[in-house]
Amino acid sequence: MKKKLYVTRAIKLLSFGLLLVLAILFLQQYPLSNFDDNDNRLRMDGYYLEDKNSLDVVLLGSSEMYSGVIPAKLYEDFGITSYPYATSSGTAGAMVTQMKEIQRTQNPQLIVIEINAFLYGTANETKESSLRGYIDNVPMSANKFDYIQTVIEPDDRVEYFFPIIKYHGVWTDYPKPWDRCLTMMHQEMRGYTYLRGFKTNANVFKPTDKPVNATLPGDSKTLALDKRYEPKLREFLQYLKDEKIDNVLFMRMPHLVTKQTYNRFKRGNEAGRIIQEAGFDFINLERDEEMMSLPAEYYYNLDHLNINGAEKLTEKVGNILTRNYNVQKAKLTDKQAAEWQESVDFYHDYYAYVTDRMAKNIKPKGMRETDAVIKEVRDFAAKNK
Amino acid sequence: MSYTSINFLFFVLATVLVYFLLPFKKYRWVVLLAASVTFYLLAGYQFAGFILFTTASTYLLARWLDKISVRSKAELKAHKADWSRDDKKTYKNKIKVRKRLVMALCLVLNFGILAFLKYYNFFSGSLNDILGGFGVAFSAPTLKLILPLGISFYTFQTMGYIVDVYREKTAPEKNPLKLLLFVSFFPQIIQGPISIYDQLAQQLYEGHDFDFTRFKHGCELILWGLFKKLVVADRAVIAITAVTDNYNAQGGTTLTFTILLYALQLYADFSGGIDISRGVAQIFGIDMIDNFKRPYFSKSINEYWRRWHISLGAWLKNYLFYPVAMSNLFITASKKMKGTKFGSTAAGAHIAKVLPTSVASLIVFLVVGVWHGADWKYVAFGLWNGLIIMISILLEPIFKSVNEKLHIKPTNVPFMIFQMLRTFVVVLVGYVFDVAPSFSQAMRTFGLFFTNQSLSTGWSQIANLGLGKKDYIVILAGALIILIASLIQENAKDGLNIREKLDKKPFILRYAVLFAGVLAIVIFGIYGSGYNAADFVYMQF
Repeated sequence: MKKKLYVTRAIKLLSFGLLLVLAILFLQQYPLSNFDDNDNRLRMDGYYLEDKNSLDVVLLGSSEMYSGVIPAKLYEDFGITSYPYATSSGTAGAMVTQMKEIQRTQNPQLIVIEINAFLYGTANETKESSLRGYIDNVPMSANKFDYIQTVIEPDDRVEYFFPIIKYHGVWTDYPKPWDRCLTMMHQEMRGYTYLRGFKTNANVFKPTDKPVNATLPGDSKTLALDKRYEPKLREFLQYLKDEKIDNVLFMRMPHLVTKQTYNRFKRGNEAGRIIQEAGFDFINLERDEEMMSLPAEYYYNLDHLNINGAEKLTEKVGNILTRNYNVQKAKLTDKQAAEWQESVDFYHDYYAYVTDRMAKNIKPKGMRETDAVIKEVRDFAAKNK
Repeated sequence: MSYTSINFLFFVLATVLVYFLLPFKKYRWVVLLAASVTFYLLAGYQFAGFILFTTASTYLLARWLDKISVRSKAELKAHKADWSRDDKKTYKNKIKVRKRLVMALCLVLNFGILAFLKYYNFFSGSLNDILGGFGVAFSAPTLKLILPLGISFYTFQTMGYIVDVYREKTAPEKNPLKLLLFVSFFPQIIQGPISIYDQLAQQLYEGHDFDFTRFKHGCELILWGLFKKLVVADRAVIAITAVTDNYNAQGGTTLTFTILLYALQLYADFSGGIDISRGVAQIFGIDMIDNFKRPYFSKSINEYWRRWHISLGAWLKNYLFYPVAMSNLFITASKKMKGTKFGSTAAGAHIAKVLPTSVASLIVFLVVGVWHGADWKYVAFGLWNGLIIMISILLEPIFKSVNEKLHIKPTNVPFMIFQMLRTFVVVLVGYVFDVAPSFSQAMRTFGLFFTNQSLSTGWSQIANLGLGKKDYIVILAGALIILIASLIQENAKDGLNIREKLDKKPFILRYAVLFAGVLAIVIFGIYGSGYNAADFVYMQF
């Protein structure tokens, strides 16, 4: 009799505990998660939704990557599948972990690495929002666990392992995050993203400071990297060597360089020197005449190309990948090919919608792949067919 | 380690497991002692000396008191035949004086430490002000003193024990480690309740078996405490702190709102914390006294203090009120007044009768005020409560006669509601002294209540106290839940508490309530480093 009572109680308690844990995990995963303004989460979720070993190229880096290279266009024009494994203000210290995650999840022909994370003159490395931009938005893995143990102070770690402790107060922002929360779930149910991590801002930039881009292709001046970042770069290069990872290409994406950001340009040259010295390829598109001749109209702000600029850059990158690095067309299953074709079709509508907004000078807007934007794009396409 | 931290939950869980898995029931108290010592050391090992001193001094002096008692009894027994009645009386008085000296030594040592740490800077500052006023160039130094964790609570609790030993109500504990457990029991060390040795000690020392119902009720009480503390109190305190940080800028309406919010916050915080303490103790099979019995339903300030911080009230009644009220001085004064011409009138007889009680009440509440903090505003807080009680005792016959003339029965519901509201207002006045940064600011606040009421200013100020509309809705909803729970408890005719009532409901409903409770705390609780939306906006990268 007593035994039966104990068993019943144990079952009830375990069921209750299990349900509670599941409910809390659900809250942590969706409605009470980190809703940063760049939707790093949607992009990173999208990366992990890609079929294993289905990407030809992974684009590692920061915002320059996900706003500069258009995977759908790269697929349409060159037959290459790609995805940006990138978060806004990505940190240099996360690069090794990110490389491990790419190796764990994909087997790309080439990994293109944007060097922005090594060029900071400020404390981006320890900035909570930059750290969380990556940590909060990727699923738990042994790599993520090690990374948290390495970069986060012991007293703060629990909030990184259980981010609900940090973000449970997000409910006060509702209903604003509903769109993103539902997008996460819809994206996951669909199993792939339309834009494959690409995001732009429907804006034509009007700089207040005159860019000096025209003078840069011939400018080889260097400036030492910040002492917080040079060791990180060398450590990363050493990791690649130790692990014999040679399918990498370092790149510096184009920016509008002004007097204020000229030092960063020089640090880019210095980083390139260190990278090449270590035996890796480096292509500096800030020294590329074609890219640096693009006027401000091709940017949505100083650091990021708009959709027209991204089209140009994608074409450039596609040519480099296929001609210089012999990246071959993807071998996809019918299902994968159909999904990528859907991406291409969606991108066309997206491009038309974004450029229409820019032409009509409508208030600048971040065009992330949320349910609301997907609907706007589809409505626009239906109206104009 | 805060009672509301995840670390504390893990700490309790680990202690529970070790306690109940230890096969030797007789030694389970050692687990509680080890946990209590660990808890105290984790909170600040540098202060451990204070609690050890209190335990050691109380242990030794209690044993000495016992020794005196035992020897004196033996002596009296030995001289039963050869001592005269006067001899015996003289001897007993001598022993009484000796015992009093020993007890006084313990009280002076331990209250001395508490008084020094808590009040030295207050008195030195006041002394400097007074002397400066007279132009005396003397300055008592100000010291950087930090109060050891729970010193007020464990000192009061331990001094209660020594008085009980002196009164021979309690046999002294022979094992110093057991006494250390009584002094440092971790669920109550931060904020009480202040337990009485006879009520708590034996429960601590006897090994308890695991009891599922107790475990469940304990967890439910912890959950309820966490809800009150994290969802209501810690949210309300954000607005209250915003007001106290910028007190001078607040208008009368904002301050009125703040005092009301403070009444809710203080109750939710204090009673929530006590619920957590009691819940943890209950899991171990230990019943600690309930420190709150829905105090805002009190119909008089006297009743309020019987329902609010009950353990402090009981302590003060046992160890301060009765000794003062029953002292020779007060009894003699009462008798003398009765013998006067005034004492022969009805009013005089009443005053003579209640004089010891009313003056003792005033003294007790002065102590309550000072216990709350080292500041004149707390003295005023104590004085306010003491005076109200004193006046209510002295004027009791007048109130009764007015009620009779107006045919108001004490059971009349509107009258009871009026009494509750009246008492609540009296309590709120006392809270002004708590919230205001100083006595003079408290006085200014009373003025603002009547001269500076503006809904529009108040609304705009309240909207800028660090809480949004949704936060205020949560506070309101939390307050309503607490009110409903209190009403159920207050009107319970079956004598069952809500947890016992819940036990009688179907399984699904029971667990749904608990499930909702946990999720409410997870979602609406104030914990963690906090999320600031601005930190995560990069303006369109």
